[in-house]
Amino acid sequence: MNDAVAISALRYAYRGPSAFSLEVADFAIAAGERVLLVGPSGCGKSTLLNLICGTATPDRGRVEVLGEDLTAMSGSRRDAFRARNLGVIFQQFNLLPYLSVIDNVLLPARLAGESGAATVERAQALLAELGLAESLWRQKGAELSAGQQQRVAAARAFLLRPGLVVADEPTSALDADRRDAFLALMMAQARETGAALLVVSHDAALHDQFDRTVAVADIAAKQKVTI
Amino acid sequence: MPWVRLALSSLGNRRIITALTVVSIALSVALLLTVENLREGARDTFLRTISGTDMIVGARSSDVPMLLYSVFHMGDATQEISHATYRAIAERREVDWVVPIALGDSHRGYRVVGTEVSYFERIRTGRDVPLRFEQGGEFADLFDAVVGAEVAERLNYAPGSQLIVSHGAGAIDFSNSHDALPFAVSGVLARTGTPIDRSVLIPIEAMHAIHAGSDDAVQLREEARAPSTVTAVFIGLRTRLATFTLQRALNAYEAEPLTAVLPGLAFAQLWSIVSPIEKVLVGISVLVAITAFLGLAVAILATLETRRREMAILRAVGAGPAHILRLFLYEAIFVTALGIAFGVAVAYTLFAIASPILEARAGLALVIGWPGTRELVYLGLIACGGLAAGLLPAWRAYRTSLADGLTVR
Repeated sequence: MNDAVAISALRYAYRGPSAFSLEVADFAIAAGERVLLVGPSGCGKSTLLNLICGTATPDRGRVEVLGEDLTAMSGSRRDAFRARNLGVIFQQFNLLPYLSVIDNVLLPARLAGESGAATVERAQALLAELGLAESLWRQKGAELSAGQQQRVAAARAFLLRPGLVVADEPTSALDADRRDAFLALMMAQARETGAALLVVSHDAALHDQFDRTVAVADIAAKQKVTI
Repeated sequence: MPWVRLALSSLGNRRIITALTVVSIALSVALLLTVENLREGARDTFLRTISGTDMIVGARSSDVPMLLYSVFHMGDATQEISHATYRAIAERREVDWVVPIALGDSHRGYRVVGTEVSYFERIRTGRDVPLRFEQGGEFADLFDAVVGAEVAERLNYAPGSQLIVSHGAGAIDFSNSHDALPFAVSGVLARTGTPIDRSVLIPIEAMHAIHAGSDDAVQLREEARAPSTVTAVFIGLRTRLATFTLQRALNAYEAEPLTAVLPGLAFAQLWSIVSPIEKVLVGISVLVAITAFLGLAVAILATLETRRREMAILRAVGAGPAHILRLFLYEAIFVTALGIAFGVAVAYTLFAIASPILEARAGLALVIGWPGTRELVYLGLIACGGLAAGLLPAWRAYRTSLADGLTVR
């Protein structure tokens, strides 16, 4: 079976106001593996996420996701690939405030053109499984609590049974109890769908729930570029 | 497609700013349509100040001054035409009818026009609308007068009222009033929106009689005779084909120097003097439309920063930067379309309400029909303006979502 992620000889240069370069010699996540990626802010985590999700392209090297070489795809192919095969959960504010909960969950399905009755049913089942009462489904995203919003985001991420779910600090906006409950829900979903899980956090205390913990500094070298 | 729904939901989320932007576009559309319609209405009404008359003949002059004194009763003719010439014109075989007018007197600032009873039948205004009596009727007696609608309203005249004609065109005349010879109002004309509303019409024989020197009405009645001169002659032709032949013949008339004017051409000439004003009006409404679109662009641009998270979410679920561009363009298009729809509705409601009032007060006939070619071109340009105004923020959103990816920097 293909690795969920396989990065080799990657070099990426950001040419913005604070230009930097990032190099990753070799990094892989096996299918279904649950990896915790830790590192202080500014270590290149966000860039790494963008590279794995195909919203940034490296200047050199390969990024393979679920056996597909992202660097060989056009931008729109990468977008379509992301809609179909990747789930993404942000730290907070995951939902479009003006869409209902159910419409937020169905967003990737609509973009992937898979919003049939079966998908809608799965969305409802997922929401129920994640402890979101039916009365909440028609509410607008902005009307939910932070914890509820994160669970809706998880439902959306796992909707199309993606091979890889990427979460960027998904629990940092939650208190300790909710954090553990949310992590458990994510793990359960990952197990059920067979998705590999890549969670980025600055909180190494979570490590015992993952197969492997990786420090960003060990796999990636970030350097400021001075012009 | 989810993008149409997304755009609508997103706009709904910003109801107030969206509503204000729609209103500003609607107002500019309504203004543009109103200016356009009034402009056309004014031009139409002006060009139809007189209709049914094929030619106007007066003493040698040029077209515009002749039109000014004969139709608008502004200024004076420098020369009159002799009665012999008038008869000769009337008897030409191309001529179907003639109506003479004699000018020179006034009544409390309103011009007095000496004419014949046939005036009320032949002189038409607007789209060939005959004169209509609001009260009373045409002259029955030598010292009868018919007053225009404005004269009757301002001076509170009704059939039976007496009025004194004074010499010259001034509002107040101390020396030369024919005050021993009062006229009785026999009729009041309905409003036409033309200078006729501001005229006092009396029999042309009476006009000459009061200038004959005597103040004795009884004697004047006996002496009332065919006038010796007329100021201008309105002519109707048997066939339009004869127009240019007759015009040439009259312009080359040997007995005295004449000028024959074709009202249509002369009016167009006169309108071209006034037309810069209409261009200014159109220019102003175009500026208002541009302002509305700057408002649209600003309204969307201002939300860009706060919507970077929204864009990152969309990117995360598989949207490309091109999708984001489309989302923002759709929003601009919806706002513009809504603005145009409301603007057209407001403009036509306004026309429907104002049209009868304008028609009655100013004789201004608005044309309320489907938008004409010009209006459609304007609406098309406005639609393009909305698209152009939407392009800038959409392009910015495209760039931002491409640079941000999933992380809002």
